[in-house]
Amino acid sequence: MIERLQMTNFKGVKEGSIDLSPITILVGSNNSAKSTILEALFMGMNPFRPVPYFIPKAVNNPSTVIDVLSYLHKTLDYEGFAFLLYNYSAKEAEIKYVSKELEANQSQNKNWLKLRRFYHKIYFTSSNSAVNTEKTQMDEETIRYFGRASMDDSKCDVFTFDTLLAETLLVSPKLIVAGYDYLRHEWATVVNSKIARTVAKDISTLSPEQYIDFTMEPVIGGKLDINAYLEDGRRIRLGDLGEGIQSYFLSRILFELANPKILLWDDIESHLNPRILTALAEWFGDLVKQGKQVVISTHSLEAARVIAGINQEQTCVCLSFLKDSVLDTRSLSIEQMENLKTAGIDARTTEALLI
Amino acid sequence: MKMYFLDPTSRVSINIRRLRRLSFPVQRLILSTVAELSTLVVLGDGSPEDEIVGILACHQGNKTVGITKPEKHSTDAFREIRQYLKIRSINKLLFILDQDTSSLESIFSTVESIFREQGITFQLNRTFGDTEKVRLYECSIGNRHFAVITVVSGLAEFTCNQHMIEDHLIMLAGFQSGASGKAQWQSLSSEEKLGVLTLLKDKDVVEVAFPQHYFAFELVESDC
Repeated sequence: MIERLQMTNFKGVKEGSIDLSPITILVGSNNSAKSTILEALFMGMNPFRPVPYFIPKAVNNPSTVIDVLSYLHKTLDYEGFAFLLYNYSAKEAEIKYVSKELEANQSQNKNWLKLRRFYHKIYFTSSNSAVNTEKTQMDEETIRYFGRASMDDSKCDVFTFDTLLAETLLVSPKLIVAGYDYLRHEWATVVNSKIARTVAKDISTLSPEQYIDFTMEPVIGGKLDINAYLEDGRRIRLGDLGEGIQSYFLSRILFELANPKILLWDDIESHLNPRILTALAEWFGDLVKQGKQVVISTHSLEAARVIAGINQEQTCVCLSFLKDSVLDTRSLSIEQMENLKTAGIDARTTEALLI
Repeated sequence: MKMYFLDPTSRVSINIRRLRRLSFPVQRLILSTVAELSTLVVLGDGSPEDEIVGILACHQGNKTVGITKPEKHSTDAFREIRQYLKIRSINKLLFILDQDTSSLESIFSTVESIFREQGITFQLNRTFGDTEKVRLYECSIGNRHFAVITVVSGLAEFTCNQHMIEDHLIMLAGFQSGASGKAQWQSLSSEEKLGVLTLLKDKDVVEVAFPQHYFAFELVESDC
């Protein structure tokens, strides 16, 4: 488990840190660094490791973390990696992952990842010196690094695909299509495992329809389509099911395939009705029992209340906000949030004012 | 007066924002972020209190106030003071509540007993001139000092058994008595209500129609 995340000059955060629990729920207004926290955790020391997404036109497919981040931040006329650096121009950014458990067998419990800008490239250096196989001269200093990304386009040079820290998986409504595309390419793995069947059974408890399996089938044009098989023999294309069910299905399957130690979920309330939300909350509890960690972001107090309520002992609701680009966070219990709400104070929008 | 809603999606926020349909300049007075907040206006009874607060704000200076409506009604709203003090730098709270069927003495006595229940040390600082409907208390919890201004809505000039903020509006509409200001206000058509609210674009009309509220808002603006 990662107990603490510290960031300097990463994306919109000049500096700041956050303490993490087995389940951490990030709540805050827009531009309060919730997604930045998730993305820093998603980088997980090695942004060049493969993840279960297929990003259109990416250099690597299955894509790497950095391809996914680039896809999430791509604007109409810009596609470099400058967004990783504060103000697009910081000379150096650093992310520290504090984890006693993961590094119990090492002398240090801080893992760090440094991003150094030199001309139009960003060089990635890890605290794990063994992977920093490459070296370059930067001004008068020689630095060692394991990967390099361009500030101007989506080109990267990767020298290790190793997982350097606990594997993390980011789930986001913006990544649904990339997740589908990954499943289409990895259909044999999915079909030949029992994963889809298990997930189908779970989904049946949340829907009036009784699904027995999900499978991939060719459709006209030679493409593969994901179908849900029903008990009565009918089949429905996954894309025709409700978006909440699609989202739940995809996340569960990707999680089972990637088997990460830390699940990150951005905007969890998106498309999810209360029944699916409750099922997710219970699933998160099961994940924690298996020794995994969950970090989610939401704008919904209802989502926070359900997830924190079901997993009270393991969960921390964390209000995040940025003041002058410095990240500040406050832990609140659901009871505290509800008391504020009763008094007419929405903690999600007044976070910077609260003591 | 600049307004900051502690719950931006609340009914209060929506009702005040809707004043723009009557050309009140609320849009430019509503802030979406504030770095500091020293004063909070707490509505004990909801609507049309919220619209009146929005209108009063249009006629005041430049001070920024938070605005909120707790779920608790009337004097029970005072039970939330400790929650409001969780907001850093709050040092002045203005409560607005209807007189209803109670006497002023009984209302203030209830308020003071709630202060005691909440462990709030208080001292009645001032009552104000010919209106006993505004009181200023100097309060503290531990070493946190703050002022509580209480405004009771309702007009004795309007002959009825239940005094509420609607008294002020219905008198403006030309009525002098009735079962209650609220019932009479609700019996008006939408157009008639809008007509009365439109009269409040004139600052002098507001000052006369809502004397205790106007006075309390001036206190908020000042460094009382």
